[in-house]
Amino acid sequence: MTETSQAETDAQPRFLEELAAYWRQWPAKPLWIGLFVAWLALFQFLGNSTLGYIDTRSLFGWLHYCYGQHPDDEHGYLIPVVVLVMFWWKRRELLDRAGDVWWPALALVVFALALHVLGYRVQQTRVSVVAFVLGLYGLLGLTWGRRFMVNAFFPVVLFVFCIPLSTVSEALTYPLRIMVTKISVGIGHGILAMPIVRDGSQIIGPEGIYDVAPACSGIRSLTALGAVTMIYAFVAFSVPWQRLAILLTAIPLAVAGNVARVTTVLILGDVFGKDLAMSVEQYLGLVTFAVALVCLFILGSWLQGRRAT
Amino acid sequence: MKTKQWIALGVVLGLMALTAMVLVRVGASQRLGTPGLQVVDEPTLMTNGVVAKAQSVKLPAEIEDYSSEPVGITPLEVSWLPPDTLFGRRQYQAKDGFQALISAVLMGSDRTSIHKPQFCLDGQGWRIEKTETVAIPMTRPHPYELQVMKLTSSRVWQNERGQREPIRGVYIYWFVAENQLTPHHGERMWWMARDLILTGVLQRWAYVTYFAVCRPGQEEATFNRLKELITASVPEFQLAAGPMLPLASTAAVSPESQTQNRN
Repeated sequence: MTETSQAETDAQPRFLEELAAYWRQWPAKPLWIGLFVAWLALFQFLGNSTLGYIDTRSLFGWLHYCYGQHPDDEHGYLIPVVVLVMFWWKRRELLDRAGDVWWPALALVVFALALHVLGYRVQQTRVSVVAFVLGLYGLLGLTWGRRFMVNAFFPVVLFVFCIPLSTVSEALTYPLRIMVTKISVGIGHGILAMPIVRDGSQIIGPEGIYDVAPACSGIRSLTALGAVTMIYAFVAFSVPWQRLAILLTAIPLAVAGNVARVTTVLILGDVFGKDLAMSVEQYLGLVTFAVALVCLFILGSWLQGRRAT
Repeated sequence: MKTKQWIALGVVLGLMALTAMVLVRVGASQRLGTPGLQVVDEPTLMTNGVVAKAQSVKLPAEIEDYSSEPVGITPLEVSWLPPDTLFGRRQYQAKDGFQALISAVLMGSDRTSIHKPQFCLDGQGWRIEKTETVAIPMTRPHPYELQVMKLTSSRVWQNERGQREPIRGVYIYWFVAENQLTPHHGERMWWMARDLILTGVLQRWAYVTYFAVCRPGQEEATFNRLKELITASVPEFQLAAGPMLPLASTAAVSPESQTQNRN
């Protein structure tokens, strides 16, 4: 057996042993398991009243349908995994803060149940998704106390990215699409002297017409960057205003990343022709995220430098 | 488990059981409202000639100097929308050759039958250039203003000679339910939620669309033709009407005053 595979084999039992030891230390396990299973069952059998597109009463079935129908919502499958990973990352802090039953958290559970009844009555399943997450958070506080609840806010808040938004986000993404187009044409024409003009979300040049598609607005990059900025804000920073500053960069970062992508396509089109530019464009999604992440970490380093001084 | 934990478990399980009973009751007690369009026992046909529905939304066969032909519903629409969705669709042609497509989609018990018409246009390759709310003066059953959404769109079309040429589309739509009219999707959703909460009645919404294609530069003239068609045809199949206009406004839009203005 090689040294690398031996190390991997040794790592697995250590993780499982640590997981088992961690689990044994947790207080109030029967209470949590009972509440969690009951909460899941409620939303499994009476979670969705919108039966048009998928005939299921299950909130999870409705979410699965939404994620499958719209690529911009597919990340919803990953969020529960990310939340669990974050819980594991914070396991010592959370165990230290785990206490006894905290009755005020019941108010949040009651509110979540009322919200779900409202969402069910008006056939707005997204409202029920919010109710599910709020109630889950309330059950955490009811089981393990106020300090635990406060500490668990992140990563529970990441569940907001489970809400499928692609079909209702046009009011936000369309203006972003226009903004990306305007800035890209400003750079291409104003700075690089390309013979291009903008017509709505289309860019017209001598080599053809480029349509800044919804993917370049885009809800997918917004939600991905929103999740990344939220994780970065809570993992790397403890000061509230610094966390807020990082969180607020999600929209401008999405715009900057997509501007970089569109401008790159325009430059390639100007030099090599539209056909080559469009064939390369589908791979430029990485450009969007690379630019955004570089800007994010530059800002983060600057904020951390301010904290140090 | 400690006593406190047993109590917490019991309380929450009790609340969930109560909620479950409420949800079952909510689902069973919803009543469906009356539609704002006429429904007739005439079958709806798909584009392949197969009967899709036993009923349809009534659209008049003839309006003034327009004749019409029924247009089939695509299998995609039939399979994608909830099974109790009803349709009405006819292609109208005036004696001078002007053509317009009138379409109506009426929900059943599931609100997801009604969606933003922009999705349909976008899906058919039309690019929406301009969106605006306009008021169309109606004279029947009483003088009122019908608020509609007007979309001006464009696409590239391949003509009979195989040449690609730009064309424009004027797309007009609004939402209608019993005694309710609005061009705004959000307003419709709010009214529906409000009525569901306050009365338990699920408003049975429909959306009505008028669509005509034209050459670039003819959008306004096409819109004016559609306005006239709307004024003449809507009272034939729409049951809902807006609030009656005040007397001074009534004089401006009554047929008699329009005749006087022409003279």
